[in-house]
Amino acid sequence: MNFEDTLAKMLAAAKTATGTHWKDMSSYLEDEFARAKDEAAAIAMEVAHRTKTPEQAKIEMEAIEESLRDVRLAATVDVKAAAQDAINAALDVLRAAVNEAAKVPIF
Amino acid sequence: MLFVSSYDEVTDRSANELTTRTEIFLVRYAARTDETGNVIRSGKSYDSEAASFYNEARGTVDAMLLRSEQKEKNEEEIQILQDVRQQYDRLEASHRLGRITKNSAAGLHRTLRALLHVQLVKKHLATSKQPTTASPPS
Repeated sequence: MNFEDTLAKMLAAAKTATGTHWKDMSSYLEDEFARAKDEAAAIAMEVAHRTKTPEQAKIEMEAIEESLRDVRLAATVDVKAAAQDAINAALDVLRAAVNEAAKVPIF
Repeated sequence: MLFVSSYDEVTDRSANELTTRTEIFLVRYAARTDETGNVIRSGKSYDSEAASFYNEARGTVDAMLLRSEQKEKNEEEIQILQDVRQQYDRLEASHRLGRITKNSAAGLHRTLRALLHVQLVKKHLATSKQPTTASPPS
């Protein structure tokens, strides 16, 4: 039994598990930042053209600011999910290696 | 090893239904503006029907919160739900002051998307490979 090889396999399994999460989170963040910029600009234009009052705009900008905090919360769940998948994938590799070496399921 | 609470189909469905009801409301009440900020389609002023919508939306969120609070490792979802409730408060406050536009709901939309994103992540975790445990020696 080669446990050095097992470490490499554990890392590879963990990396594969986190890859999907990272791609999802990255595109999610990019999309939300781009939207926030456009929305803030649009609200400013609406105030400039008296479509809405500055008081309304102030409330709506506060809503945008708060919503970006929710993006952070959602991204936190992404990171936790990635860690969960990575650790469980690595544990599966380790479990298989240990049980194979022991020739009985001990882990 | 679990860092994120399990996927809950009821919460996912409720979040999607709330989003749909919100969009239907906004189509009726929110004005549309062009890139210069001028109104190209008028919406509706705050009225008793709008007040009912905001109250029902907050009630739906409260029901979702009751369910989410029962689960461990669910702090982010609980906070997002509390923020969704506040976003309806803000949209209503703006609506009471005057005409709302699609952009008035930008914050609410983003918070709802955060809630839906969390549901998607949980669904993905639920369908990905689950950790296995050793069988007891026979």
